Amino acid sequence: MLPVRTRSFLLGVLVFIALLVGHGAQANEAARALDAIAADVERGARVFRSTGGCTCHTNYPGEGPNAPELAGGRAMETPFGVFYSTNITPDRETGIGEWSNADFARAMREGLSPEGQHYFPTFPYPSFSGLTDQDIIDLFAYIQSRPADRRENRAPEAPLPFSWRGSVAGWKLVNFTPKVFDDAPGRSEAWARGRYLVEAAAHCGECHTPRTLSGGLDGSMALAGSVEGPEGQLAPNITPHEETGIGDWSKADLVWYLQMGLKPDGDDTQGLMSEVIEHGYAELPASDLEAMAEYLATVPSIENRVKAP
Amino acid sequence: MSAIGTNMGAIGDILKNQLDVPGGVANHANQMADAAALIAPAFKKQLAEGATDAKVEIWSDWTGFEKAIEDYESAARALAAAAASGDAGATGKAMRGLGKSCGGCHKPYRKPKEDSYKNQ
Repeated sequence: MLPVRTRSFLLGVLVFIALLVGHGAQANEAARALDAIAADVERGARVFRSTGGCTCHTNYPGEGPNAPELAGGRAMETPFGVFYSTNITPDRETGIGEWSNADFARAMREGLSPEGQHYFPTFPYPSFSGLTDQDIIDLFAYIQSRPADRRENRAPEAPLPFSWRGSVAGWKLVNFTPKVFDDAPGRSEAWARGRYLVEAAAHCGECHTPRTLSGGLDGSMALAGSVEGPEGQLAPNITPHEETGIGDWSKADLVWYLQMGLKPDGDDTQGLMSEVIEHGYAELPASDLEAMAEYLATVPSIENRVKAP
Repeated sequence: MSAIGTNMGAIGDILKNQLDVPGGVANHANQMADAAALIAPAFKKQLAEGATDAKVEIWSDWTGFEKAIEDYESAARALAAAAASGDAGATGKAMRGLGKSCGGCHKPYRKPKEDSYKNQ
């Protein structure tokens, strides 16, 4: 791992480039049209589960199983410092109760607050940028239907420049391309659904793909596991590599795993993964989990044994 | 613990692959419940010998540990009963309950895999 000073320098260079190029906040006409879409709360519940239940926004590790749902305050440890998840309950002052559909879509797709401030990329908007309009609107409606909880957001505990939101402009220039999916010619409908879930909604790569020095996802190692996983945990290799990935799991093994949190050898699951299963994936229709298994079986197989450094 | 894991794996194999093994789930679930009696003595021995992935909390909160073992045993018996009734929905629910009971000990009392003594 690089020392913080080296990382600071790298990011400083990126910020400089960003300032040169500039990033005019463009009005997004497409996003405005979102306000006209009719929301379906029931569908939104399914989208919510497909994200893993937005579990990073509930502080289970710090406050136990009765932590206020979606009220934020959960510490996300990263190599750049500790960042706290935000309050996404419908509270009007401290949550997102005042947001419009377009505000929510801009946050999910562009990592920008209604005031145009950058969100730190602990919020996985690079993955969520691939969500459909309808899914975003439905998800927002579902979240707005949950109980409001008043809780102020917490500033990150990170050295400069990482605690400065402006530095994220540079990060985005280098590391962020909105996700666009092709029509998946020659693939089944289930495969395309699985790709959408794995790559966008369930945002598997945000933990299971290792990151570059600047904190972007290393596309050449997609889903091959990371020693710098969430909250200091290891994120295993989930490519179909036989020895170091999950190539020796059947599709039924993977569906079962996402329903029960139990591996083929009978062991259970630890850490954030156990939470996103319990509050999210486990409640998805089996067809969605089968689709994820079908897609994951076809991603490039990468040899990478994830072990504690 | 390996006896428990093996039985858990067997139950998983039967349910996820819909194997035709009459009474199989209930049998393995009852074996898991029976194995509950082994847990506390096995950990006492491990802890005395030092080769363990248990956290110190297992000593400082021994009654909590024993309670978690009891919860696990009831969850295993509940799965055996649900499976014997032939109700697939109840079996699935009981299965999740049993899976969750693993975490009842693993979360508070087991070191993360990355810190396992086997990696040192």
